[in-house]
Amino acid sequence: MNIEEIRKDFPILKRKINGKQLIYFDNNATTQKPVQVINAIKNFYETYNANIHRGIHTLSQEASEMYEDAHKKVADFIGANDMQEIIFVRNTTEAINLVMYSYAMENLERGDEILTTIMEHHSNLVPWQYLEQKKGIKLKIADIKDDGTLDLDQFKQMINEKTKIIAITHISNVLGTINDIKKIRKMKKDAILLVDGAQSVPHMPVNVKKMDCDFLTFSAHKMLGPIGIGVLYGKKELLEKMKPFLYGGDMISKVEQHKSTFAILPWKFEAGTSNIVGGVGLAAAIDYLNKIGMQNVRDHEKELVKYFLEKLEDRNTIIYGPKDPEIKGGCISFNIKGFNYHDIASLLDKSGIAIRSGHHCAQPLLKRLGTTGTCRASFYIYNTKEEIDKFFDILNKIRG
Amino acid sequence: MFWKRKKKKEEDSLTLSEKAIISLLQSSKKPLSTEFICKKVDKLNLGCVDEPSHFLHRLEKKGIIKKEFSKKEKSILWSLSEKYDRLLR
Repeated sequence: MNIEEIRKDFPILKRKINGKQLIYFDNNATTQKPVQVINAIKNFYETYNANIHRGIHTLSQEASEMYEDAHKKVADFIGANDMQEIIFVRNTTEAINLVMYSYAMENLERGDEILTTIMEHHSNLVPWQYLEQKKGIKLKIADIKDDGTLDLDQFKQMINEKTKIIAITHISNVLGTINDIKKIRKMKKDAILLVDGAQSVPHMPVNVKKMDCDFLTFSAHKMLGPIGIGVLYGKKELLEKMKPFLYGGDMISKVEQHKSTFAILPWKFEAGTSNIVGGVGLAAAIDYLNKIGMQNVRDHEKELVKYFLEKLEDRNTIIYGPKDPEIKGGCISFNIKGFNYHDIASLLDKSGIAIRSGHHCAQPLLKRLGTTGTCRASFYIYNTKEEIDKFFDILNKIRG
Repeated sequence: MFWKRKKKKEEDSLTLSEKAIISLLQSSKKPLSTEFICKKVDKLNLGCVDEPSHFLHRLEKKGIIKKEFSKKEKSILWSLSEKYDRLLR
């Protein structure tokens, strides 16, 4: 993996912020885009732009093919059977809402239980809270241990015959904790297993068959792709039984005055004009990542995390989540005693360094950690140890 | 007249959180910390708890407020900019 060559593909990395070279450590929020993705989007609008499906003309045929190919590429990327298991949505949040409305709302009954964890992003918590209030479903929330890993003993104890859905993040967007999904699947084989892959699919090899999950959700913009397109993977037999999420154009087979039949998968779940160029951009992002290799992406981030943690440890610094890079994704949350986390982010920004500060859309977790927010540095393929050195030059000046 | 119009235009484009921040700084005799402002504005329930900090920086970009880092207090301290202070008077 040649980082210097990779960096040349990202025009934004040449940008100066406050007179300093940009150091972008906010990759859990969104990633930067390589020219290959930017050009794929530009090329689509300049050469292929048309609405998809049912168009006879050449442009529509070509655009349809490109959009369908994007589904196939995603299916291959995560080891799905075929493109019928890949539904394009706006983002991870929408993907989870789709499962909540089209599967859980229809199939769960009062007294049934959903098991999730305290380390979830709001996107994998708030939809289930709504279901709890609307249908009397019991929402159970498993705790973490003090080292930021999931308390698997407690998790196991919380499973029973009423557990109908297990909704769990693959990698915590705050702690970086990597959850052992295979182990969790073994604990309960007959529950629906939804894995929030927003922070795992972009950063490590993920295979839906190996995890044996029923649903996997993730967003394109966190993996070099465009903003506004996300993915719901679902097992075909489940998706076929589920009712549509949105109704209207493009998701139908036949429409009469008072009834309709619906299109085959995945189109049954993609109502209205799709984010066609988003799909094209996502396909280009997958091509880019495949060229690097997802194991290489993971290894690179592991190295950066190890290097960063070694420099971060200090008696005035609180580090949240596991410190072993083997069980940690490419993000590190921390606080400097006596400082406000937003102030740290603001002072770093003065030197061109972008990190995130605040609750990271995981307020219950932050409360569990005894804080209202943290600073979070998160890495990707274009980040380097030299950037980490520059980061600590500034941070050390701040923390004194 | 021009200044009055400019002030009105600037005020109309402000969000409720931004107005709350300005009002806090106006009523304070000394610069206020990020922590203090965020806690006060959060109590008004105008949005997510992280938003006040975002709006502080937006107001700074607009030139309405300014910041200074105090090593002693380990905090960024915010106050109204001279330009905006003049507009208010």
